[in-house]
Amino acid sequence: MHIPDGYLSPQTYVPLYGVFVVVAAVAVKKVKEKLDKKLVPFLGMAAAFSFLIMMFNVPIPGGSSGHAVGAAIIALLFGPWVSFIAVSVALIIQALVFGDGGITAIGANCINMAFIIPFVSWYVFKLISNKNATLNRMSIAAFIAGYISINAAAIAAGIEFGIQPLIAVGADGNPLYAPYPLNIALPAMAFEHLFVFGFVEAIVTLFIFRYFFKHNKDIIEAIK
Amino acid sequence: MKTQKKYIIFIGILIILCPLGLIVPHYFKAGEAWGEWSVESVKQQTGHEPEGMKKTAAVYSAPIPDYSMGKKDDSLSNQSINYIISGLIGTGIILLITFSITKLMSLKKEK
Repeated sequence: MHIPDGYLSPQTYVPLYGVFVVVAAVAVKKVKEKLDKKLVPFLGMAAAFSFLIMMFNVPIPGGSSGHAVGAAIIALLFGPWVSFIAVSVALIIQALVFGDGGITAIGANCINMAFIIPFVSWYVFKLISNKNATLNRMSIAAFIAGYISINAAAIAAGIEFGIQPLIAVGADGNPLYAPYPLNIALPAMAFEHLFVFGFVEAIVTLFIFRYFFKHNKDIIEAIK
Repeated sequence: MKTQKKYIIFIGILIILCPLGLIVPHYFKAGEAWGEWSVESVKQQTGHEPEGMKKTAAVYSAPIPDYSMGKKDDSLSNQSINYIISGLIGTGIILLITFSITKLMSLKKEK
């Protein structure tokens, strides 16, 4: 889901950079308000975790590969704004140092994976569960939160890819950037996440949630 | 602190195991993620090289492209070592940056 350089037209990546900068400013303000000493090591650990979990490519045999982002569980543990900052740091380092995701697409990639996933995860979990729910109900909520949130991000990326042939066409009628229209890009991104990668994020979210519930229940932000 | 030690061990395990993210897709003959192809690959797929894509893709080249120091046809074991080194470098930079961010945040708060 790391959109490389050259896939998005400036009409797409410039506004998304703008949205990213605004969201980042809000995130810094929100996190600063309640920054306590306990959170400091967790932000680093969360960002490093997200960075590393994205290195674990999961194959669709003979097809494409994908990975979890970890943003869903970070949101449940520390809140969606902390998740936004942690995952954004991971994505920016991936783009700048490892060429995973383009530098022109940093805004888009951070909105998809560091903003959409944490907030969808947070609200889906809250919708299904609450702090008085049983562990089973919370586990189901965590699983569904991971599954739906990464699919939401994949759909956003699919739309960003798919609108390119509509909005950026050369004089010869050929697409200037991402070549596949919505009717190809959107199902391609959606189906591989609905059938495979969605479950990867869901399982990661479920297992880590249960681990924290057993060993460090008090810090889980989503059940406070 | 005990919990903090556990997280450090957890991160360490992830770094050591990360080559699985390379080896498993290789074993199952899975390609790149959808929409992350090179410009040449797009040209092969569609028979046309998008002009804007070619220009924009050339704006920046990362120091450690694809977590692999740039040797695409390297043996799987060498790639795995590079992958681990990349994991270490990335984790190091990320911890430094997040530490600086939290430092800056708490400094501002005290004023």
